[in-house]
Amino acid sequence: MQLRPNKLVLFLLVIALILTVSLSIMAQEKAYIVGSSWYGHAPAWVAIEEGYFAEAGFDVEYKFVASSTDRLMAVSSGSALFASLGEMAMITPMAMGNKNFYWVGSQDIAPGFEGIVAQEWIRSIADLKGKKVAVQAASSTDLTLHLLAKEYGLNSYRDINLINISYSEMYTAFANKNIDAAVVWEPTFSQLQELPGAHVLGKDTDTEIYRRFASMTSPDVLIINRRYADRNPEKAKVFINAYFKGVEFVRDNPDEAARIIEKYVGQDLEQIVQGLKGFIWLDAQDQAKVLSPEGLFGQIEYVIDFLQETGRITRKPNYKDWVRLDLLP
Amino acid sequence: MILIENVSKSFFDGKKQVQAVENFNLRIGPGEFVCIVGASGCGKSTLLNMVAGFTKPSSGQILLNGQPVTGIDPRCGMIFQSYALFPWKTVLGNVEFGLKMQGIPRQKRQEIAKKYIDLVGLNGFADSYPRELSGGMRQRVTIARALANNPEILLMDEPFAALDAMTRQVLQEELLRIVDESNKTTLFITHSIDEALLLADRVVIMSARPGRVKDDLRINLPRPRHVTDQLATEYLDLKKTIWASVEEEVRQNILFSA
Amino acid sequence: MSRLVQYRTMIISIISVIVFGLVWEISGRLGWVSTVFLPTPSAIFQEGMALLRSGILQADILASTRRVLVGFLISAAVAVPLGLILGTSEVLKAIFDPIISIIRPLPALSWIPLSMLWLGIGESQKYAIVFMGAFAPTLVYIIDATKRVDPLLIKAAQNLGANRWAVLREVVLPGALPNILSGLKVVLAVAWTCIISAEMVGASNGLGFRIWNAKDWGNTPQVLLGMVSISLTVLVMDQIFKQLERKLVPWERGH
Repeated sequence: MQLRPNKLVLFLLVIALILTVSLSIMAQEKAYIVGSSWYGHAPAWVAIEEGYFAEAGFDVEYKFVASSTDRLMAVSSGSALFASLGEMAMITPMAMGNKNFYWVGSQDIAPGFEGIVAQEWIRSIADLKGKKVAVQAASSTDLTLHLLAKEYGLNSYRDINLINISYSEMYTAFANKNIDAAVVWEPTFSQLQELPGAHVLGKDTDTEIYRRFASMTSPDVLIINRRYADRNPEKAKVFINAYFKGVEFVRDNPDEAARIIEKYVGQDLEQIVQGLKGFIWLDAQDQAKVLSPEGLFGQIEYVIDFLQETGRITRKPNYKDWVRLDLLP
Repeated sequence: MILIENVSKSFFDGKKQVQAVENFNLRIGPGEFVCIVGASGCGKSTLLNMVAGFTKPSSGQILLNGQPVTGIDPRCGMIFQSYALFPWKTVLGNVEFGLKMQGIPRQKRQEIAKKYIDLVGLNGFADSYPRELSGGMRQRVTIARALANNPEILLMDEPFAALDAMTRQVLQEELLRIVDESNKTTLFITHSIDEALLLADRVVIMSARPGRVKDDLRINLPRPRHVTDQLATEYLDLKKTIWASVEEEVRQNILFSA
Repeated sequence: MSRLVQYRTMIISIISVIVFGLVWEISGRLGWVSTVFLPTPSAIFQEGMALLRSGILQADILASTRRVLVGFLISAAVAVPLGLILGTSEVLKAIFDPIISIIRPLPALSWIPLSMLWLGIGESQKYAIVFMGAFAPTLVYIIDATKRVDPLLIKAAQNLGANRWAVLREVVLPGALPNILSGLKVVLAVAWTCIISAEMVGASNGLGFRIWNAKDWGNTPQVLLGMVSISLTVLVMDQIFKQLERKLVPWERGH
């Protein structure tokens, strides 16, 4: 009497196992892309919605992960295949010797989309001393704040009370006046400005990095999981190609792209269309220049120095070791 | 004085209805020392709990000095077999408890408590904790605690059963002395006939379940009594009579107990 | 346990910790384990020294300890009397049981959205998270401790003239106290686990904050330092609690 139910269960389990395995073999390759609700991720959304990834044989799912550091962890660990994230989040893992990802380019230049939004009672950046400022640690906004504050004689890590709030929670905190200011990128950057009394104290375009390199503080970079690329270089190239098709689409069809963006971001179509106007999109052909001293290499060395000065890294990584131009179409 | 009128008690033991006590009638006069003797499970403890007010009779009533028992009544001082001393209080703290509940101020009640601690022969142990005392000493504390509250009636549920024979003997004689001095009405449960004969003015034999009064014997042995009295003829006769009566109940109990 | 045996077991524990630490350090240095994923004890120690020198570690420990203690104490102040009453009244317990059953399985983490909505991101919000994490388990422990009080003692007290409140005060509370204290000791450690959740959002200091911040900056040694600091702080608190127990419950031997 006791043996029969056990055998039945075992039988069912084996059937289930066979079905799962065969189904997953038959299915397209499932891959995850991680990112936030920043427009820079639009090419990925487009490539999903317009079927470029499907054509390439990939079933891609987009997951929202607020922190760039978390996105790098996801790709490095293999739970995500590909991501766009802030350049800064790449550097410390490089310095620590994390070799589990490749740097395959940057898809956009979009300065002017992030900055400090302050409450009514904060009149200038100097006023931020000792005040509560919401910032997502180790993100581009962290660096933007630091650079802007430096020009007013403040060290953001010592003189300002930095509060860890992710971009999705900043609106409530700001509206409830729990914080004195917030440093954030779009679309939250615009949303905060709509609150009564809120005003912009400075943007990334006011920083030294912009003055020297005409780039964002922590430009968007694209990374891919190393193990996958090593084992399936052809498939990796096909994947990246599909992504850059998405870039081309956004560049050439901003209005259609705006409609797709609307699905992923909670904003008005009008606002999105306006916002996209500030973007310069870089396609696959541009990447050779991007990944060179004329492109991001000068800027990244500045940031590496900054991280070393502020004690975030002890030794400077040789970032070129992570670059894989050959994976690009 | 205690009047138990036609008291019955039945309860549900989880599986079926059990009639613990049935039509129990007993009158105890002031100052009397009555021992209830009976086989295990015959309902002696249940009866005592009803007198103390811990449970209510299913039918019948119990009157203390003419007033019916309606709840737990400090007029009846209970002495438990397992002592029930408060482990977090010292001997003094335990003994003065009833007085504290009466609202008597600290100095006064400590004075009174100390008197009773002396009475039971525990002079010098007022600040000890129960865990530091032997079984016999703990039982003395229980007695002191009950007496200090000056109840009209003492209820004792096999108080010495957990002690070794020699300690038991000593405490029995102590109890006799104390009861003599204070002349309290006492209802004492035991299943030792020797103990009953040593202490009681009357022995009530309780039948096997459902318990009722089977026999009620007056014990005319002279007081003060000593353990050595056990060899006297009168004593042995009484013992024979009681045993004959109880034996029947015990046998029935063994045959029919659930 | 005799003194000698106590010392011997303590020495064995200390030796095993040292051996474990050495193996860990060596495997990191020799490259058996990638230090990207598991920093060596010496790396963690260095981080600790750096944070101590800048005063940050001390400030973090104080901030987190304050948040845990306040949340925990408030929760105990509510749960102990409530538990004593619920443990002695079937009716009241039946009324509260549904609410307790709903709250009990919810981890502190799940209270972050509501607490931020109601209390913002200040200290009271942090205390609230710790409170919510500690309250239900404490209540359950207290109710259990209350029910374990020997009913005979309650009878004895009533027989000696104690009314309902006197019974609670004089018998139930001291009678349940040993079990209440051991329950509280367990919940204090639970309250510490809430600190990670409490400081995950809207904090600027604290050991939980430090762990999240270190993660964002890719500073794994600092993450581990934060974790080790929490463990050590809890250890110290536990010892202090044990001393407290001994003072409050002198009638219990062998604690």
